[in-house]
Parts: sequence; structure tokens; C-alpha cells
Amino acid sequence: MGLKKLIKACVDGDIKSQRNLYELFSPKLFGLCMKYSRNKVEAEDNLQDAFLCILEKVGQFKHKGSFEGWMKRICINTCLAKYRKQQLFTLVNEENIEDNRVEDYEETVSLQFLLGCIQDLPNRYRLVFNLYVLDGYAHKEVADMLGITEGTSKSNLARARAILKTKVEAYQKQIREVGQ
Amino acid sequence: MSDQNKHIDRIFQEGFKHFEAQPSNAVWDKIQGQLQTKKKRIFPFWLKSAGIAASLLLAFGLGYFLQPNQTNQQNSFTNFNIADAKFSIPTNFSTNFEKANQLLNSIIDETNTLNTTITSFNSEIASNSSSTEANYNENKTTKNEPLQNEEIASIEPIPSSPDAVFSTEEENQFSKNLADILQTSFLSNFNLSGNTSEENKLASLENQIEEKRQFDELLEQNEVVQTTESLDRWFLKPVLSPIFNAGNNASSALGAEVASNSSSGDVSFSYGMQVGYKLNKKWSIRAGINQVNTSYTTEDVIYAPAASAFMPANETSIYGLFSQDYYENDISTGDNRIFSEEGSLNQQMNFVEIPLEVEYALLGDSKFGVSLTGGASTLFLTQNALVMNTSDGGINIGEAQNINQTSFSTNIGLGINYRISKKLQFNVEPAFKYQINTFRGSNLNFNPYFFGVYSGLQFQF
Repeated sequence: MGLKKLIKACVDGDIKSQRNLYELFSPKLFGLCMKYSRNKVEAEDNLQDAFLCILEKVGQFKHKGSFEGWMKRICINTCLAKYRKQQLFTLVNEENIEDNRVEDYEETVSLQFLLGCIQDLPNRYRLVFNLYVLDGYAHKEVADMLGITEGTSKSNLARARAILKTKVEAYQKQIREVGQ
Repeated sequence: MSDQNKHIDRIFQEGFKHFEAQPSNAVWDKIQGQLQTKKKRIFPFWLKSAGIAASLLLAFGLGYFLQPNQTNQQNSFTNFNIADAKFSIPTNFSTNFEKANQLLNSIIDETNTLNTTITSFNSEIASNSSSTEANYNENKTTKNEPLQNEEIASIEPIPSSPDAVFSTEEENQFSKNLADILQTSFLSNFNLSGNTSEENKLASLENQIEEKRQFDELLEQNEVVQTTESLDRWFLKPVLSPIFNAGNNASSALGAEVASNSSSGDVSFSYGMQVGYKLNKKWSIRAGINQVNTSYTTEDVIYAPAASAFMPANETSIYGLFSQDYYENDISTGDNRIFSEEGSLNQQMNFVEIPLEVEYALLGDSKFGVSLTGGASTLFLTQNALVMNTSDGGINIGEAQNINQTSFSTNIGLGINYRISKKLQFNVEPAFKYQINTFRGSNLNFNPYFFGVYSGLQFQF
């Protein structure tokens, strides 16, 4: 069955096709949710909300551009909606952030660890880092999506990078010590 | 610097280039479950609009029923012409006069007959006793009619023995005077001579009596109508109900800090008194006063009281409500010193509810009755409390600032009655109430509504 046919069947509310669509795309979408969420439980919640939204709005998809991209955007928006409104406390002075250089990039860093680092970031930092670094949005777009200024987006990103660097460095140091 | 940034970015970019993850199977099950409940979710919204429809019906219905003398007004305007432009009451009077006149005339007739009879008595008394007997019989028939009091008075002195009729001179004189008066008025009205045949007069008398009988019947019918109207129209009903609060998003009413925490509606209760009036067999309106307690619980809340009094001057005190996740990840890990309690937060709102509802009986002739009710309530906030339920017990931490003192609800219900006696019936009414305007602020995605099963004994009087 072609994707177009599958989409059409989903529009008609055929539960088997909806299941197929889910099986087909949930690994990719869930990966996305894992990056944008704080943990697996919340990632699953977000995937659930996002997929319900996809099924609800699938009739509005006009077959312009990629369907996968369209679904990913819904997924991202779902996560943004959830974490954007929770961020009420600005934690740090976002200027004057020291750059901690990661000394050795050659060490293999497990994906699980990287994911943990991202998930542990404060909400806004995580969202900005994901949007800008991993999903290729410009600062202008990020600012629009999060309802913040471009300047805030940039400083949030810098702060996120700093935290991630510290963690990766510490991790690599630990690996080296264990290795020796 | 930007090079270094690129390095750290690249680690992550490469790591997540083709990143996929497998969600647990439960996710699809939940999606499927939600898809089904979404179809069902139309239900409360339908109920909500039904409640509004019922309130509109109530408003217009009341107007209709309270409109004064609608049919009379209509008649007087549609059938109006100058010839008819007289009051209906005087017309009735005039027919009454006519009837009275006719009555009087027949009395006069009768008296006249009597006079002739008496004259004929006088002439025939000596010679023919049998003809006297016949005349007397005819008189007797007349005498049986209860209407003609004067006549009876004039006839009564006529005993079986004709001699006794004229025994008293006074009575004779009186009846003669009366006869004269009546005859004069009779003659002035109808220029009739006294020698019309007696059968005719009796016939007219009988007509008269028939008319009177019909008139009496009419009166009786009117009385019957009045008694059916005075059936038990008022009813009084003390009610008690558990209240099932729907509070999936209740946490959002507490503020953004805990908005995404899981929350639920509690089971609370309502009690009160309803008074109603039956407009007719099908429709009735009712009002009342109820105490309604609503309650919602938000899980995993951290409450940090303002503790600045205990803090050194150079440290900031962090206080307020936090979600547990946020607290653990973002606050408690830092260098902050916080006094906090963790537990669930219970939001309690009690209202005095004044409902105005219309009730339509779908079934009601047998012992069991089924009725539909709909309307609206005004809710006055009487208690507003936020209570932290912790392992140490409950702490009242204050009031919510975003609750309106006056709010409303649209109501819809299905009543089931069981008639115990003519005056008493047992009533169970599952009802749905959708609250409007409960919270100030438009960015809440919490619209409270609740189900109740109102039961009570209904007294009719």
C-alpha cells in the first residue's frame, strides 16, 4: 500500500491503517520526542499526544512536502507546547558564560549518555539546543516558536552547550580513568 | 569559540543523525483508547448545549405562560367590530334579565291560570265535584315544581276539600292582590287574555323548568372544571446527591507551575431543597437552593512556604508551589535552601447553587415516571480553599485568587419517579452540570463540570 493510500485510509478513520501508520513512523517520531522530553515517560506521553494530533489533522495534509516532515513538525510542536509553558523560572544569568572546551573528541561517547545529557537540560535550553543544533532551525525561527527573542535563543543555546560540554568532558575523563 | 561550538554540536548531530527509539507497546493502546473516547467526548458538549437550550426554553416558556389573558386579547382584536363593541358582562346581564322576565311571565301565566281555576271553582263547585277534582290534579302537577315559590304559596292553601280554600278571608285577599299585581304586569308585557288553554301554559312552564335544569347542569360542570384545576400543582423536594467532579485539567487552574501535573476530580456531595410548580401534566418549572461542594486533587506538588525569616540576608528564599519534577530537577539540586512539604494539593470550592429548571414528563401516568430536565444555575462561591495533603496531615495553604464569586452552570438531567402515594413520590435524577465562568483568566484549559445523582422524596400539595 502506498503512503498516499495509507493516508487516505487514515483520513477515513480506518483503525488498521492508523495502526500501520503508527508502526511505520513511531520509531522516528519517538526518537524526536526522546530528544525534546525530559525522560522516557514524558516522551511517551508526548508521542501519544502528537500522534493523536496527527490522526486528527491528517485530513488537512495537502501532500505538499514530505509527510514525515509534517508529522515531525507536529511532534516538535507538541513537545514545545508542553515545555514552553512550564518554564517560568529563569535560572541563571545567561551572559558571561565561560566556554569549557572539550579536550578530546576522539573518545566514543554513547548515544544513551548523550540523550541523557540533553534530557537533563532545563526545558528551554533543551528545546533551543534541539531546534537549532539537531533540527536545523534558525535562531529567528526558534525565537518565534518559543515566544522568546533571538537574543534569548542565542544565550540559551550558549548555556546549553556549556552544560553539555561539561558533562561530556567529565564523562570522557571517567572513561579514560576506567580505561587506564 | 565558534569552532569549539561546532565540535560539541557535531558530537550530538552525528549521534542523533539517524536516531530512532522504540516506544513501549502501551503507547499505541493509549492512543487507541483516546481515539475511542474522543468519539464519546461529544457527549458532554452535547449535554452542555442541551442545558443552554433548556434555559432558553425556560426563559421563553415562562414568558409565554405569564402572558396575561392571551386568548381573550386575541379574540377581542381579531373579532372586533363596532356593532360588537359592548362589554360581555352587560350582555350576560341583559340575557339574565330576559330570563328573569320569562320566569316572571310564566309565574304570571300560572297565577292567571289559578285565577281562572278559582273562578271556575266558584262557578262549578256547587254542581260538579268531579271537574273540581280534575282541576285540582292539574294544579297539583304545577305544585310539584320547586321553582315557583310564589305560586306554591298561592296554591298551598288549596286543600283537598275545596271549601277550605276560601276559609280565611285574608289569604283569599292576599292571593287576589298578588294575582292582580302579577296580572297587571303580565298584561302590560304581553297583551294576553286569560283564556289560553292550560296545556299550553303547562308546556311553557315545562320549557322553563328544562332551561333551569340545563342552567344548573352548566353550573355543575363549571364546578367540576374548577375542582380538576385544583390538583396538586406545587411540589417540594429535599435532595441529596454525590457529586462526581471531572478534573482532568484541574491542575491548570492552580497556575503554570503545576499545570502539567496529573489531577483528578474528587467525589463530593450536594444537598438542598427544590420547589416546583406544575404548569400542566407535562411541564413544570422548579427552583431551589443547593449546597454544592466541589473538590479537585493535583498530584506531586511541592509546597515551599515563604521562609525568608529564617534565611540569612544574603540568600534568597525560594517559595511557592512547584511540580515535583521541576523541584527535583531544577531547584533542589542547586545550592538553594528550601523548607518544603510534598504531597497532593486539594482545591476545594463550595457553592450555594440556585437552579432554575424546566421539567418535561416523558412518561408519567403509571406508578413510574420519566422526565427530562434542563435549565441553568447561578453559583455563589462560599468557600475557597487550597489544602496540601502531606504525610504529616493537611495544611491549609490559602485561597485561589482566580475564582469568580458568581458563576453559572447549564444543567441537564433525566428524572425517574416512583409514586408512593398521591402526595409522595421518590425521585432519582442523574444530572450533568457544566460550569461557566468559574475561573477568571482565559488561558486555562480547565472547564469544570460534574455529574450528580440527585435523589429525594417529592411532596405534592
